Amino acid sequence: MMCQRCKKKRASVRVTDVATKTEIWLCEECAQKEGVTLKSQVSLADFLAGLIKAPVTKEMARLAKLKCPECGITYLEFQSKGRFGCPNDYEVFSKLVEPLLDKIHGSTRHVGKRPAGTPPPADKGASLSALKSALETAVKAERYEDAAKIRDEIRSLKDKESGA
Amino acid sequence: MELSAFESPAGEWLKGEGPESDIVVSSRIRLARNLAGHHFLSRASTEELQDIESSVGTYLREDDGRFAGLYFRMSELSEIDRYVLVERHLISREHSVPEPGRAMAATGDESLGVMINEEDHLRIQSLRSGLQLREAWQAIDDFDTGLSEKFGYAFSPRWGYLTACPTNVGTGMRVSVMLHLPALVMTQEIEKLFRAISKINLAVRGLYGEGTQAYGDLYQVSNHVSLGRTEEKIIDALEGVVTGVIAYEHKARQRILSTHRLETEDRLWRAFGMLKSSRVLSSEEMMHLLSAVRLGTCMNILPAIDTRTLNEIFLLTQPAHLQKVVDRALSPEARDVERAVFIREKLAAFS
Ligand SMILES: [Zn+2]
Repeated sequence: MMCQRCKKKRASVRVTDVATKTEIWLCEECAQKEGVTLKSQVSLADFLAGLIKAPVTKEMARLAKLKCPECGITYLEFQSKGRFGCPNDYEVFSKLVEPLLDKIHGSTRHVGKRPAGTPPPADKGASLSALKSALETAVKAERYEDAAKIRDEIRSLKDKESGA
Repeated sequence: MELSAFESPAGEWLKGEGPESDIVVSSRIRLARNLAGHHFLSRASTEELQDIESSVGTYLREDDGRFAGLYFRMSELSEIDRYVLVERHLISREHSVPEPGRAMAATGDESLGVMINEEDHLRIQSLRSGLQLREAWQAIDDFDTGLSEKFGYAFSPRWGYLTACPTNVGTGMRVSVMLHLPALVMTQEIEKLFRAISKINLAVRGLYGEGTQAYGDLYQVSNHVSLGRTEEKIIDALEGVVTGVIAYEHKARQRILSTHRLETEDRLWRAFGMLKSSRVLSSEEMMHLLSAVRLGTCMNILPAIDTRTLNEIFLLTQPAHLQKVVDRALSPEARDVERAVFIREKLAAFS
């Protein structure tokens, strides 16, 4: 496929705006002009900055001015660079980070490997998003019995949440 | 840095062995990790970065031991040497900028590699030739566990491995498979394939950041969701897609043979002739011709050139490698001449 910008070179990079869900195919030259820094591994990091929208509510505006006590970064600085300053930032800005993670990954909870010596998760990792992704996988693999079980789990989790 | 420092002139990913190696060049898994108790790169002091480099470096060379032969600080390498590492996919282009605290390590066979202080404190990667994602995962899983015992990672039970950029958080994992898809390019089905793949949340791109094209019909398929799925699920999903693409490429190869046999044979033999006899050969043209020759040998149309020879041509004629091979700096024009000389010698035995 040809680059949808210059229409001259072969496209090799898919650029997706996660916020608007639109996508275009670009050659690497045009992708670079778009501000996508190419790596030997695909990284959406560099145009992420453009996706992190300005906070809308007053509460969020207040949060955006929060400063991480560890590294001193503010959410606004993170917005402009697309990189956090220290591991603590996820916690400090969690109210703003969670919707962002959901946009990028379609999930806000880790379910994979844990470093040596980390205690196992207390809730057995049964978060809604993990179950939803498990359901999707089961349906795709045509494991319908599994899918039905997962659906039940999701339902009971949702009931619990609405009851609380 | 001497090229002979690498155990094999072509490295693990260019060995050309392993399952599905007529289409799958290599399987790669990368994990992004940060050390607990330190700032991420953008907020860390030079001193802090150098401390990380020195303690991780000592561990890799002395405690682990497998990295004793290939360990380099970016600031201590010449520009050409840094580009050699980029061309071998051992470091990213960004990492080749010699900032303080940046280093790389690899095992002699290049199946495991580490970038220290790239975008995260550690970027570790595992490589296998052919389609061997599970083997690649096992190797990196063990290595990663060892590192976590020694250093302690920035980890949250909620969000997983914490990374400088939230696109990598969670598993910190990027799985990618490099595929040679010349028949799908010829039949112009590659576009359809790209669209299908992008709909299921995977990314496709060309081989190198360098240049402007999907060089030599080589494409990398990778995940970009790293949070909310287990490592096994991410690998399963990618492997499923790749298996489909392989079948698709096989079908396209059969179809061009059954419908356009003479044209295909003519095209592949011409590419072979040009590759063998050119006097001036740009890197781009070489990749294009080499792709056809690779296809021709896989389809038993051209003489059986071993994959290793093809891979050596591929790697050793990249600009930085070529200058190491002839042991002097070359202008782009001189490179095109030397590239043709090198390839003529390599292919002289085949006709
Ligand atoms: Zn911080």
